[in-house]
Amino acid sequence: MDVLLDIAEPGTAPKPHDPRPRERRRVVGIDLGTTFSLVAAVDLQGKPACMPDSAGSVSLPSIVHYPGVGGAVVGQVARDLAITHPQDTIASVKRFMGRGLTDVAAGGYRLRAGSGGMVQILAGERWRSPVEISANILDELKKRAEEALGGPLHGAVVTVPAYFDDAQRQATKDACLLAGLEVLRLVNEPTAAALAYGLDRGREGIYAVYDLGGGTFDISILKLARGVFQVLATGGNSALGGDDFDHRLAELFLKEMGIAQPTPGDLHAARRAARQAKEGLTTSATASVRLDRPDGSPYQREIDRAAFDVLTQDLVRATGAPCRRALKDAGVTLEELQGVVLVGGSTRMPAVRVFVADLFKREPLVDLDPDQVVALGAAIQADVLAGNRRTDDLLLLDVTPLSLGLETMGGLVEKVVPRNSPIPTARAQDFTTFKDGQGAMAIHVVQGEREMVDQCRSLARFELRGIPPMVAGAARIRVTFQVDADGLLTVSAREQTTGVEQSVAVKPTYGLGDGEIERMLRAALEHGAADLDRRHLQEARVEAERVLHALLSALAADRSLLNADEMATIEAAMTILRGAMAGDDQRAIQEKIQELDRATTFFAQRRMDHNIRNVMTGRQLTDFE
Amino acid sequence: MMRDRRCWSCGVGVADAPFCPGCEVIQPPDAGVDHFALLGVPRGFQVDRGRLEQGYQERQARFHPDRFALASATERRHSLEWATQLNTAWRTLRDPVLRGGYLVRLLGGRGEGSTASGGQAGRADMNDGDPEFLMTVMEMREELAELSANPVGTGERVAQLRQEIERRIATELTGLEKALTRALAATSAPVLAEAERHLDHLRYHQRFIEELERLEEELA
Repeated sequence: MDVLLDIAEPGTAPKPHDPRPRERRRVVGIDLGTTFSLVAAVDLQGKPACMPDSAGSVSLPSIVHYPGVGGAVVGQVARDLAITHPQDTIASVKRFMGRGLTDVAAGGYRLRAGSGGMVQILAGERWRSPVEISANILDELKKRAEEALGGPLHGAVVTVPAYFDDAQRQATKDACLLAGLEVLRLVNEPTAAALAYGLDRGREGIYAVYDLGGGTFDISILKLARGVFQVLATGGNSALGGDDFDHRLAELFLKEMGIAQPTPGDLHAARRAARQAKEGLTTSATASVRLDRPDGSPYQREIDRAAFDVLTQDLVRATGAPCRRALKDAGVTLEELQGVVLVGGSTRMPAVRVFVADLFKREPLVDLDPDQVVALGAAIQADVLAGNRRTDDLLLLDVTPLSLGLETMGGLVEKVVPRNSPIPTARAQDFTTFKDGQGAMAIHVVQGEREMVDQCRSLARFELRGIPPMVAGAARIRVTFQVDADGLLTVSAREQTTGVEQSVAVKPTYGLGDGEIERMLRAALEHGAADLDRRHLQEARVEAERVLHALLSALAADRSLLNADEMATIEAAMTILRGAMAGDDQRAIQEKIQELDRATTFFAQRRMDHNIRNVMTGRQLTDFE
Repeated sequence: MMRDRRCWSCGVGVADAPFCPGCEVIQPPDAGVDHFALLGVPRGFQVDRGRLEQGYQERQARFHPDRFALASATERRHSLEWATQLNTAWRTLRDPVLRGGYLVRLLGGRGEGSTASGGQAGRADMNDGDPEFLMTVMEMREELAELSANPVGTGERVAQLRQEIERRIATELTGLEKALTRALAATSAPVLAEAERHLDHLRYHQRFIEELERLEEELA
């Protein structure tokens, strides 16, 4: 029996507004990390625990390998394959979530700008979005949890860095959707950590949570009192983490090995060695490094902790400013802090601990495993939201991590909801027209702390139309931002004198579009894993269609440029491609597209020459001067 | 003041009760209730911080949307409205300048709205009747600009500037408290010009502090 009935004692029947569940729901907490991911659940005694894989390991390396044929390989096996297949094995995909091509460093991968501006990665002979790659990791965790809990999951609380912006959050949600997980709530990682800490020891007071993970840094100031976990402020850097320490060390190795242009394989090998050295230095004063040079000769060196600390000290120091800012935003002094909690594997580095102790003037708390604490907290929150737990013993109050604002004249940002506002929140701001008779006003919603629009992230644009003609400055347009408890934003604009109104639920312009997600989902739901292949087949067919259509219009225009033999060759290639389209081998279609492409290159060239000649004929030389 | 209000769910009279006395379902919040009453702290410029925090947390614990995760859409919407109103109240009352501005508005003054024109007002309203203040502010600003242009080795002067601005803020806050206490005790229409002047100065100083902080961050 997998349904546990919750029987109320006589006289203590649940109140209507106290929705106690009739059954215990299978819910989990997931820490979708840059380097490792974990899944945890709360047991019948109310204690959270991380679930191990069959080998007994709770940490799943967040690495996905895509073989040319067959499904994705996730975890330790993928990590081993990274050395031999560096480009088809994606590590630290979290860095790419909700990001555009210009926001990220390639790190040896083949990248391009995908639809909606989000970066795509070529792996396993196909372009993939970070959302899809993350979904593969989530899928692995989901399977692990469903096996352990004995049935399908009702939902999950998934953690994100507190400093993730809307696009990154949306991308994370999309990944869950794609993996078939219902997201009960995205919870900020430091908040989840505090939850695990606070409940573990029944602690009260104000705590700082310093979370340095593989790819992100977060700082949160929280107040724990009477079962209420109130986030007072958060801050951080969503592109700073343990990976950067590895990269710094790897750069040194590559330089010393005389490799100026490292191949993806060189990079992987150097980073792997760097990570091992870094981990070694947490317990030993020195670590030795062994790598092979391109000519096969060995590269060997010792590195001591002091040298490593000097090499990476600017990275450690870069965490200072967000901490000071968060304390200030929280209105909390160092003396008022009860303690500092360390989260994230990177806080194992001795230099980080020394820095934190110095910054906060106290020794940090490290009694829970910094790798597991986020997943444990997420499991607790999942248990609460699913209604498994008595609802009155725990509440999380969170804040907006980044300011939300509007573009005003001159590309400046007017902040409407300042960062670290408690959510849910509603804030209004009045604007006016700047031209006589202005009938419409463009509303551009942005997120970030900078003063210029182009330095912030664009979330949405819409237009308030139908403003009646008035002199400049007479209209009163009230723009209202409503952020709900999930951190989702709705913006509405209303002209006060006439009541003309527009509103839009903000979906970041980055990330995947609704249609795209729906398409991917439908594929995944209707036919299981094989259907992504079907989708690619469909895409290949569409591409073939497009190529044929373009060629036919070219032939219609310039057939005269071809002799009969040439025409026959092209027609043969077209027939072959049509044949492939009728079948369902996606790769065959792509091959035939390429063949047709090759068979028509000379035609394209000839058309171009011909057109240029046409353009130039009949013109005076002076036209070109 | 009791309101004549019926439960949206069962139709029983609920007056001001947040939960229906009949069916116990959550009711929409009263948008007209002031922040002090909402959080259960006495109206005044001085607010007991502990009492404010406790009042806020206890109410969020009852009304927050997480408590209604499995309830109907209408219940969830009312809970969202409650939680939003509680957050606005708490944010306003925990900050002395926001709290002062709010009190002025409660008393019928111009206060400071949470609107853009309000945000700009501090800058625009500084022109008349306060040449002495304007003079000091400009001098401090000039010094800050000078230090920002060449920040190396200016740690001590920046620290002095911070002390001075904090001293000025403390003075303005004391003035604001006195003015507001008088206004709150007034039997006829209260005079709010004094409080409004202090608030304008304080907003000016806050912006200055923000810029100073940027410089401090650079030096750190």
